[in-house]
Amino acid sequence: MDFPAKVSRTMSDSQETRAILERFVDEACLSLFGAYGVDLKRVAVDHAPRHDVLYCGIVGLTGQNIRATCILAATEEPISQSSPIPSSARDWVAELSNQLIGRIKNKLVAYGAEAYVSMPVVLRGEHLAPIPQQRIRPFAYGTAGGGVFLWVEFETSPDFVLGMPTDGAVMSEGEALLF
Amino acid sequence: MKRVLVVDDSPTVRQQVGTVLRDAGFDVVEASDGAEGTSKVAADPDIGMVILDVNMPRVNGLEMLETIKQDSRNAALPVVMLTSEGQLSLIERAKRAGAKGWIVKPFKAELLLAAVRKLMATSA
Repeated sequence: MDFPAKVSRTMSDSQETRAILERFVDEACLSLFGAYGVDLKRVAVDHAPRHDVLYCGIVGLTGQNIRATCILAATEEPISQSSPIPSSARDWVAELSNQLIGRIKNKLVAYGAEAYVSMPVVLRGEHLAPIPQQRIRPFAYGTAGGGVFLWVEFETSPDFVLGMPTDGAVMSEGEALLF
Repeated sequence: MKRVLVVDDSPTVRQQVGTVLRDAGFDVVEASDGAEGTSKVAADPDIGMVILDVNMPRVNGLEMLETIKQDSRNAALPVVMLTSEGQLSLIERAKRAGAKGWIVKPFKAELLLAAVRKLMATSA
């Protein structure tokens, strides 16, 4: 990976840190859906497929000097296509949101950050869009027959630091370990 | 054959894990959080292994693990954590509490089955 070894400025005055966090989010979303057989293509928000009904999973992350709220919104197609078995969209969106924030958390932990995740909340509605505190644009992805949108709003204190990436600080997704 | 208790707040994950285990010949029972899981372990002596999520409402998986392992009757009961968490400090906590394994979601069916078979054989 080509992340900088140490980023010690605050997010508010560090585009570099913001870029790293956004990269974590993008990689987490692409790899999550990829693991469940759905190939997401990043698209410009303005060119994202328009869909009225979205399923949204909302989940939070807190840690020392960092907080984040993650909103995963998707049309029915990528939800059903990614589900390993036929299941309710409500349940699977919650599980996807949980696994997505888990991937983001694991990336932060690998860089020395401490984080805890909350339980997901699920919404279903038409023309849903968050009103974030900061000016953030969603990550938008196109899929065969649907769309995925992702808003992640990070808040960091001036003391937030991403440290040296540490090999072995986290187990990777899909790994199994017996003691 | 002894039972495997699958504890996860996601019905989809419970069904997915249950299908893998039932297809391999295991008897599977389910619980949707750590409180229900703790009750089932206490009430069903035929439960021979637990597959346990971490982030769940009411009682989370690590709390359930620590609770059931306080009962000496469950000392040899194998518990494998199945979770989206991969943080080593959590894994160490589970290990100290008596867990026998940790799998990060999404799980590979063959790895899950291998773990269950090995630990069920060891504890039999």
